[in-house]
Amino acid sequence: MNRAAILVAALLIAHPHPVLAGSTCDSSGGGSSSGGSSSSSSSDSDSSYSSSDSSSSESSPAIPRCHDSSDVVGYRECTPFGKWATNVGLPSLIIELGTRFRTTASLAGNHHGTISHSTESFAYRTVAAPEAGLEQQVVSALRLGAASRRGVFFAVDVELGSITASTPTNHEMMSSGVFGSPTLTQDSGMAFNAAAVIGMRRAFGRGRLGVEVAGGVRAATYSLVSTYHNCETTTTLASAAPLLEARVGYEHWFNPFMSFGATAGASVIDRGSWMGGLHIGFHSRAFGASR
Amino acid sequence: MVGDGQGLASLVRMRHATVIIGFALAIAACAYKPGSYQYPSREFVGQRTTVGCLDIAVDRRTDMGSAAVLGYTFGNRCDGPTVIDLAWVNVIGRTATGAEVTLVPYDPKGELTVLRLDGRQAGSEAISYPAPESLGQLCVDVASLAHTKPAQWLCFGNPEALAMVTP
Repeated sequence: MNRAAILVAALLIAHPHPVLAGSTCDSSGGGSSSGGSSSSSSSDSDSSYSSSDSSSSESSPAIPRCHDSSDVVGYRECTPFGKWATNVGLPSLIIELGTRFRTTASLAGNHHGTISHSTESFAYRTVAAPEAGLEQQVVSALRLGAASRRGVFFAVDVELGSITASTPTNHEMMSSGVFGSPTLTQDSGMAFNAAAVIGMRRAFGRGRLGVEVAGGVRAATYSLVSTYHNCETTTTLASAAPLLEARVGYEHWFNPFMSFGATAGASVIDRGSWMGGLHIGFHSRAFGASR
Repeated sequence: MVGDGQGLASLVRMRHATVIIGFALAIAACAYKPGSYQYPSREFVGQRTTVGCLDIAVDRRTDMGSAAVLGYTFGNRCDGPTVIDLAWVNVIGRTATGAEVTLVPYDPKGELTVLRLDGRQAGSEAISYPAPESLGQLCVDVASLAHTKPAQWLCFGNPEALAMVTP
């Protein structure tokens, strides 16, 4: 699951267009480098071509979409004036990758289901133990968002991970067969959480302090192992519940486009549930356009 | 088999980590460092100076007919956006007879306008300035480029004339 999250993030960040514009760095690509001659080649990414005096055109199999013989304003067609300034009009995009630790109420209780062994089928139910504590999750987290110049941001958080410590759940068989009733035991579990986030971040020294509210859904799957006579089978129990959290965070700037941060929060609907996490952030505008 | 699987998993993790680290380094390289006059895909050619938030390099290129051509490359030293005015930057030319001419950019599409360059970013433009005759000297007030004062003039000779004089 961690690998899946990293893969998704890697795919996303491997195609950072339009704002995190690859080799040309700025989203615009700009007019061109000054080559000492008005016939110098254009380096604009949109034109994806060089003028005839550039050797790169010989090795490029791509058909040029546009060709400029000059990079001088008024004489060029492919790149409008001031493309280097387009970034200013865009919100700062955010990509954050991290790991979070959560304690939360188990979703394994209060379910009905059936489990089959050969030709026999058995009904069961799960009941949360009254003294059960909170289960623990370690999840990989991916955030995609956009921030305004005023520091307000909107984001989507997706988390995927494992339930590292589950709470005891009572499993009651509601029917029996030729050899009695199966024995149910809870095995591993996985967690998936998704939330929309709104918050505000303010510059604070070399970093930013922020508050945010996240609302969405938390889901979990639990593997139940059923043993009946000489037969063992596994079934999966899936459940979901609303998620609503208040969080605070701090992020420190490594450089104008990268930050390292920590977040902590608590659920406002599940008593005692809390979370904490660390992340690395990538921003399309310097210091998240907050300075 | 288990060992092979674990080895493959760790290899995949290493490759992902390499992608992330490589991407992080690429992003780090994309920030313009104040005073460096260096930025990927931008070459700061010509006379260099600093005006307000801007590190600027201006280069006089080969004339296009009687029009002088200036190449501007600029990097934003500041964390936030800053103004760049290539539409109204003061440019003055001197003819061979010593007559002074105020130059206006060649802008047939009406593109030139005041723009803002984002924090820690760089950009470049080349602009031609039509003149009634070939200009021996060209001077540009780079302070007007950034809407600052006092004036800061950079002057350039005619590179073609210099080439003809130089043996």
